[in-house]
Amino acid sequence: MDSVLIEVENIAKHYARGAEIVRVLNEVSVSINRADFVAFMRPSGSGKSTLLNLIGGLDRPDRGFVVVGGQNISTFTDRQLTAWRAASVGFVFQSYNLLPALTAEQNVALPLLLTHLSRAEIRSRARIALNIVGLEDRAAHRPTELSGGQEQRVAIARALVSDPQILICDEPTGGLDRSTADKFLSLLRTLNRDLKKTIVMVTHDPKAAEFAGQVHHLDKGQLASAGHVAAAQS
Amino acid sequence: MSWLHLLHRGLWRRPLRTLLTMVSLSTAFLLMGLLVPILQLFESRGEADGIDRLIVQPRHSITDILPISHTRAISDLLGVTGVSHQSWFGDTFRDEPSSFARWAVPAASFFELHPELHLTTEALNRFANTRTGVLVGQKTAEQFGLKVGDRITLIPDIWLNKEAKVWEFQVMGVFDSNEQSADLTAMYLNYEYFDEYRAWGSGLVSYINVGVGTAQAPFDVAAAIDARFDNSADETTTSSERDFALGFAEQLGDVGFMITLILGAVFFTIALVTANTVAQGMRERLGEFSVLRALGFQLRATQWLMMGEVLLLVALGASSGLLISSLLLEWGRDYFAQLGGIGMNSLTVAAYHSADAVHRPAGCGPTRKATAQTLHRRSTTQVLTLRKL
Repeated sequence: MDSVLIEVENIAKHYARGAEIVRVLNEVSVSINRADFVAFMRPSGSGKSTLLNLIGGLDRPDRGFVVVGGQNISTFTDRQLTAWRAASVGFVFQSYNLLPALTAEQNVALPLLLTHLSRAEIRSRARIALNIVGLEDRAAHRPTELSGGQEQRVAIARALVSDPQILICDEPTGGLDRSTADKFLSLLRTLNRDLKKTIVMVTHDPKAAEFAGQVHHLDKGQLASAGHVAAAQS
Repeated sequence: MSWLHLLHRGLWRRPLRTLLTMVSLSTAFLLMGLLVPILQLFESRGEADGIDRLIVQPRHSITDILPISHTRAISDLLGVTGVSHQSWFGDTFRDEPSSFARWAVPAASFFELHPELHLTTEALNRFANTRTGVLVGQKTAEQFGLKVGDRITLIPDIWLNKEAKVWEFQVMGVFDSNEQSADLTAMYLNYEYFDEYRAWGSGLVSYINVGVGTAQAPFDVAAAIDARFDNSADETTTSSERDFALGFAEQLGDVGFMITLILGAVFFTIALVTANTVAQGMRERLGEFSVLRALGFQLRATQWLMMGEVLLLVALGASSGLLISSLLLEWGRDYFAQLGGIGMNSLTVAAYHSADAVHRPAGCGPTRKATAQTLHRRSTTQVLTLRKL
């Protein structure tokens, strides 16, 4: 079995800001193996989130392509890309992005609405996902009744519930204190190690990057360096 | 967790805003529920279905009076199965001039032509054989505690009694009906007695009631009646009882058009308000919909979620409004039934009381007696309309 899961080949992305063209990514290539925990680092504006969006199928590159599991998702139609996201990717956002009107369990169950599972099965899987992140007892709580760390764990449960191959985490510890962030990152590492989830994380926090197996640095839209954590830290 | 649950949670995300929007919608639909049946009633004018009685009235003014000889001429026409008449009596009962309608009618022919008014044969015979006898409707009997044998005194304001200052009657029976359109507030007195003792206007009647069979189309009979009296001193206009009642309401103007205009304005305003509120709500939730898209919800699914919330909101508002309107219509069905059914209804009574008001300034006693007939003959349609307004 080919161990490479995600292959990013010479992608470029630019945005128009008025008359100015901002080149966010320029000829970036990177490969990510199955069950890797990869972090992309550097300050804001380096193109990390754009790269994450391209890998997660939320956006398309202007040039180059992204191949995931042997499928060139850059050529997918919007409908195909959406269906692919539902089946293959789980997202964890910096600001959690839970729906405030729903309980924790209902938020976790959201992606399962797109499946043909029965209501009982949806409920059961949502409970399991909450159990994995240690929040089964908070199932009936609304986001406003949860702490930041708990909200982020609910977001992880939501990303996990449909059992995707890839977890995309965009600054997942940005709103958390150090202790909570460390607990959250430990959870990510457990998911990576025990459930063999491929995790792609963007962060500007070196401490967070320590939890990843591999760290890439982006600078001015280009991949500056890559290596294992020890090398990156040195 | 289900799609419906997601819709429901989204709809009640901001309960107060949803509730207020729903109340607006509910009010619009409540108004529609109340006004559309009335609109339909006006639009049904001229329909021949279910018509078995016609009303003949003076062509030029409701305050004109027809000669009783018209009844004999009408009874000879093809398609006429029965003829009776009724005359507005008015006057004041217990200081309440407009509490209920009072009509002078010929006992036998009137109740034969109005089989929906139920009373015992004994009561009808007592009424027919007692010159000062009256029959009162169930509602009026209950309202004023009237029972058989009770004496009633009416103080005249149009029809002066040439031998007494007041009119005195005795209750001979109480009539009832199963039909919603029947006026159970009315009181009927003997035309013969009334005609003999009134100070003026002998041999005149307010309306002529005509029964029509199935041999002739009702409106053909109506046309034949009006043609019979064309170019006479007492021209007539004949209509079904329902159209007759609606005609009073239409003296206000084109009621149907007014209702349509009001409904249009209300719905246009409510639609704008609702659309603005919904748009504001959706703008606030664009982030949420983006999250749903990231989670794998197709664009169409998120659009349907938005649309579904709006439809659910409108459905809840509309159903509550229509439910309340149907309850209100049920509560006030007697009024609406009278509007659509029998001709002698509250509108007619209102019109006649307005006519009384026109006559009252003529004063009392000899002066009034001398001028009453002249006044009554005068065309007062315009004044009546203003009074009713």
